[in-house]
Amino acid sequence: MKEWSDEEMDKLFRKSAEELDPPYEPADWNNLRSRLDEADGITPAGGWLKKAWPWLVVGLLLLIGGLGVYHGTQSNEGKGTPPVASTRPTDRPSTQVPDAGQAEVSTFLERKGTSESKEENEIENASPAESNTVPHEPGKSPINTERKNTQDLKELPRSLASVSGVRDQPNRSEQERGEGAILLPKQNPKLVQSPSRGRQTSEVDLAKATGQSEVGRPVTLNETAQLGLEKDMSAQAGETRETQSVDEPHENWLRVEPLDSRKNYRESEGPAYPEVAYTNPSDNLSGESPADAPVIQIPKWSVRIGVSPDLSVVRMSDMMRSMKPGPSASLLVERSVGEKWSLQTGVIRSLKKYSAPFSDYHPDKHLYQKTMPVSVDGTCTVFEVPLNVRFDFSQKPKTRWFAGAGVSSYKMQKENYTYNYATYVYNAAKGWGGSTGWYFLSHANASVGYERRLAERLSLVAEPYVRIPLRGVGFGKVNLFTGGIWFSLRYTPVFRK
Amino acid sequence: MSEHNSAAILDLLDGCLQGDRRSQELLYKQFYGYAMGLCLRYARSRDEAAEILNDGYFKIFTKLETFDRERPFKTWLGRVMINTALDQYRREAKHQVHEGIDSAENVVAANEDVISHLAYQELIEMVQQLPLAYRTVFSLAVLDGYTHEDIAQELGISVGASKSNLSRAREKLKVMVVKKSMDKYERVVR
Repeated sequence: MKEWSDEEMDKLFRKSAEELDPPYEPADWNNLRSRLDEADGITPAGGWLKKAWPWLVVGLLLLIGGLGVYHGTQSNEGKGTPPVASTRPTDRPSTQVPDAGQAEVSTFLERKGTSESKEENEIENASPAESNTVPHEPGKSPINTERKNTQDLKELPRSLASVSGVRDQPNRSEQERGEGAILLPKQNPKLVQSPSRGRQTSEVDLAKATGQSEVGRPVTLNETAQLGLEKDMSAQAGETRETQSVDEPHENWLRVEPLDSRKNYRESEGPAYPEVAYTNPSDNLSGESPADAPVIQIPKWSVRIGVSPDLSVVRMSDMMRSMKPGPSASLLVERSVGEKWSLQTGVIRSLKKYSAPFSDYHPDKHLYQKTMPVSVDGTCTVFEVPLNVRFDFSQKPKTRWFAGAGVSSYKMQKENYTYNYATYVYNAAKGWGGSTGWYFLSHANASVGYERRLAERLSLVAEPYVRIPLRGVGFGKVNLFTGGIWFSLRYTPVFRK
Repeated sequence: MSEHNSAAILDLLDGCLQGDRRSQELLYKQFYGYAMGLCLRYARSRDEAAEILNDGYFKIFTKLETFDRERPFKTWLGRVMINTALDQYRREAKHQVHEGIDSAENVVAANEDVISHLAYQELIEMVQQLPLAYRTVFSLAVLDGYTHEDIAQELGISVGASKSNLSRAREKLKVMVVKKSMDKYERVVR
């Protein structure tokens, strides 16, 4: 035995290095070849999808955000502008064809016999100006064509509630002690004298002459109020006319809409008319002005600073078993993009501590040893950039409930993995440390939250959240689930205009 | 024709410059043993060596136009591989966890005959088992002929640290050599 000098040792190792000639491994070339192909833009089928999917996700998020903005804008417009009914031309009858109730009216028309048909034909043949009735196609009752609109509109007095109701009852005109709802007070400037004076006008005629024009026409807010007034006035008139003889001839005043020419009527068929907006008269009739409603401020920009426990696991089954919470802090910026929608981004730094079975741990560098670890303990400092969309589903002056969703990109800043063995293994790898960098769009985010306003520009937010892995991260490419709850202060800064 | 590179090598280099995969594969095969042997000295495992090797070849194939044909290709390739290994060293140096190796209390004498029977592969594996800093300094200084000044500059350490790392690397290797030869000796005696 002799003691080796440094020179002898160096010579030994130098010789071994020079003489060593590792055999060629085709797998190594295949790896390099695929890398070269990728660099040259030659990718296997579906490769474009692998490259493009992050952009697809971003595009999808933008689409969702855009829809949110559009939805919010539409909501604002709907509240701030008058309903379409107010601008609808009143001289053009609605011609939507209902599918319900048609049989009923048809049966009724058949029951009325040929005399009515004759009368209908006469109406058809008469010029609109002469008859003052709305023209209609043969065999198709104009009453039917208005039925649907009546369902969409404000409930009317009984005599206007349905076409058949008007028709089945005797003449309910003021002169006939009816409710008079469809008969207008004489001061109405739109009153038009009925061409069919006298008692010989049939009920169907009356219905046609009135119902089709009145029932089918949308009732706007003002008119609804007016109708109530008319009803009251009609009731009064009915009382004062109690003494009038029923058989006494008198003029029958009806409010009939100005008629379209036949040509216009035909042109107006089909769904060309704008939808009539339903307006709740109680809003105005109650006397409560919109100014009395609570004002909820929607700040455009806000900043959030928060802390949260970071609970990370690789397997969901370990969620409650082996969690080791780490600290997490966030600085987020929010931008309101609608009444209820906002976009959120910022930075989050967290320390994730987790344990994973070695089977879930897939490092690029394989361990060349006979005994493999049974598990890996990871302690990773992670820098996260989230991009979320937030929807406020409940907004009150002091509180808000919201839900959020989006994606996050992780940067693994500092990774330390410790390998755990079932038994002691000599010269076994103890772990790995380093940084593997960015993982773009690696996680999907979901959260719900509650926000309570503390001051005019300050509020407190509690927001439970989850991070669901879209791809493996870190040296072992583990699918890392993370949960926690943000406790944040939300501040709305003031900007100079 | 260059006096350092054969016509065959220059043809392969021409093909590689045109992005011909077949030429690239042949060049890869031609210098695979040399390059892999070099990478193994700087890596902790064969897989890590293969990663360094492919990183180095990727640089070569994508920056081949910078190669001076009047100089030996093999030397250039070796230099690229060492630089790639040093890049890897710089990435890992900051967060390297302690790799398992039992430190020696004393340097034990070893039987020369037994040592001579150690395979080259085993000796390189011993180098691979050294901690990252020791392994890199030992490979640069002893196997690739770098001076301590060069090593200090490449690794961003002092010359003294380089010398110290080399000394400790040698001590550890001696321990490993002795242990290995003792194991072999015992096997032979039995």
